[in-house]
Amino acid sequence: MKNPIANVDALIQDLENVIVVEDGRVVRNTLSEIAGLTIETLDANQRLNEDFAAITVENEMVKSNEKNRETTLYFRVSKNVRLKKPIHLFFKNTKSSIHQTAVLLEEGATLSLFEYLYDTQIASANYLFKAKVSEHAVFDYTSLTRHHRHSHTSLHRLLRLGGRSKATVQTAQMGDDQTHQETDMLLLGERAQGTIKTIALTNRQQEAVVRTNIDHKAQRSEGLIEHYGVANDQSFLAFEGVGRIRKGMVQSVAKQSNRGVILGANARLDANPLLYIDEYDIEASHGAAIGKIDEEQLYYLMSRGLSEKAAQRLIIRGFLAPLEALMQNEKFDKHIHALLANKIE
Amino acid sequence: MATLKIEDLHAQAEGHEILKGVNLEIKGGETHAIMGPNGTGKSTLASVIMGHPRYRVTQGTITLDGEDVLSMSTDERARAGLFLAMQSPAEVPGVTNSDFIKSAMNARLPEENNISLFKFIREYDKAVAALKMREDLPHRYLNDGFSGGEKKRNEILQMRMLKPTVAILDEIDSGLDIDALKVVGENVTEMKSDDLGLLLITHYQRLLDYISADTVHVMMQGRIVKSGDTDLMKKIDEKGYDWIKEELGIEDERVVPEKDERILLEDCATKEAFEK
Repeated sequence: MKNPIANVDALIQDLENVIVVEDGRVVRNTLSEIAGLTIETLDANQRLNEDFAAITVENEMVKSNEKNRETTLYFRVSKNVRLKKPIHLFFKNTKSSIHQTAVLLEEGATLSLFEYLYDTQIASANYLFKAKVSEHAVFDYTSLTRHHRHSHTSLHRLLRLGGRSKATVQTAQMGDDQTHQETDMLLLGERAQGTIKTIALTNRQQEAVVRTNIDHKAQRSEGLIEHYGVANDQSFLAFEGVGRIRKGMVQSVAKQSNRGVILGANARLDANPLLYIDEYDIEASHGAAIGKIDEEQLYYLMSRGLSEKAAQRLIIRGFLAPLEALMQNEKFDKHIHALLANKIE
Repeated sequence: MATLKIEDLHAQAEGHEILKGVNLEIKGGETHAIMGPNGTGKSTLASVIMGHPRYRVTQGTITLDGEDVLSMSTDERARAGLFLAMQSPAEVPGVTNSDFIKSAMNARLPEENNISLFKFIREYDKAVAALKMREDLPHRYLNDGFSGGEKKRNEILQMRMLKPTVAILDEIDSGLDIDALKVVGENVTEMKSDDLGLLLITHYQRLLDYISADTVHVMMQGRIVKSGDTDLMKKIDEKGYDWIKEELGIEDERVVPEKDERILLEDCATKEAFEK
């Protein structure tokens, strides 16, 4: 790989609204004062308010994060404040870390957050992200992760959505690490809409488990889960998506799709889409399509002069096109394709 | 001036021999047409020349200017100057037409050397207009949701952009209405030069009204059984193929079993499942 670690710095240079956190310390912040936006960093002894304490799941890593975390970054967007430009967060680890990011969007607030989690050498990471999206608020969250192949990472993202709020979560797991990632979204208010799209690429002896839950605890709520995966070499990738509609949550919509390409002869890719439905008046669907790269597509592209690798890369890139939000910026586009090339080379 | 030479070519698919000794030579500036009923091996010949993984060559040679084509991978054949306009080109969702063709053009340049974006866009727009295609073509996904006619025109557009030295058009006329056929015919005719050898594969003489050919070959039972000039073409148009079968004592001209051919024409089942 043409050293993308160096490229991260180039990426940072070109962006507005950047916060760089290195080993839990803010080392760079290009945000000017923005009315209605509060940012705080909390050390190991400080705790967030009770709103956030209630946002949790039964999980050892989450428990451990709550107890042992070293730093917390906290964002609050005040009522009806609509922040147009995205905020870019970079978490760079040179050693193991336990970190939490918490976001509170008050009623009617809008925020677009991009984060890039990476390490520069072997390090374990326990990362917990929490967001409370209040009524009528709109939250766009995009996350790119890339860690060393001997690193172990645990990432949990917990989102709670109020009535008529909307949250879009897009994550791309581009690292070589042994990783467990879980996104847990509760739709708590009527007509809340949540979308979670994930891409994960694994290679060599990597093992990655991606879990996504959307729990409908309100009527007329909508949840959409999309998983896109590529497993290369001898790697193992698992998608576990769960949509749950509780009794009485009428006219809710739960949809899930899983698509995967197995590139490596000894790779394994599992998709276990699940739906738990306890109500009749709803709409739900789930599906999985996992297979080898389409031979006819490969032949067609090669018949125009593209090498097998280049053709594979183009097909995979096309396959991941639904996550276009990540690719909108030309610099990101290039960066992600460098990472992509590394994964399928 | 390139020369594609095929000698005693035998090829099989899944153990079943389809090509049984094809001989053919195409030089730059020449236009050949292979005609013949369904299932006689015409499209197989095109696929074997391009190196489709489904087929295995068991005997014979293909050379391009003396270079051994059969030892090249499909992409090497393309970069050497071969082009196949396919009968049913694959759909590749997520990959835009312009990204695809740009990558294909860059693949022909030395590494780290890319075609200028400005030049590319100008050329592409010109090709889109010449083939009377939708203006948003560069941003549409490759053949994804294209009508049969659009796919065919897109093949010719790619040919325009890639400037091959030997081009094979496999049933480029099937599924085209008269207007589209006219557009395709004009574009191919415009590309004719001493630097381009053309091989047209077709069931019908109709295509040859739009792209004139110097030599016509009739294929049956996996080999070329008759060659001739425009007179042969006219005779086929008037009388069909039965007289040739009688003349040569051929009872069954087919080599491709009917069920096999259906698989050839359709997208394979796994791909269908994948799309859903």
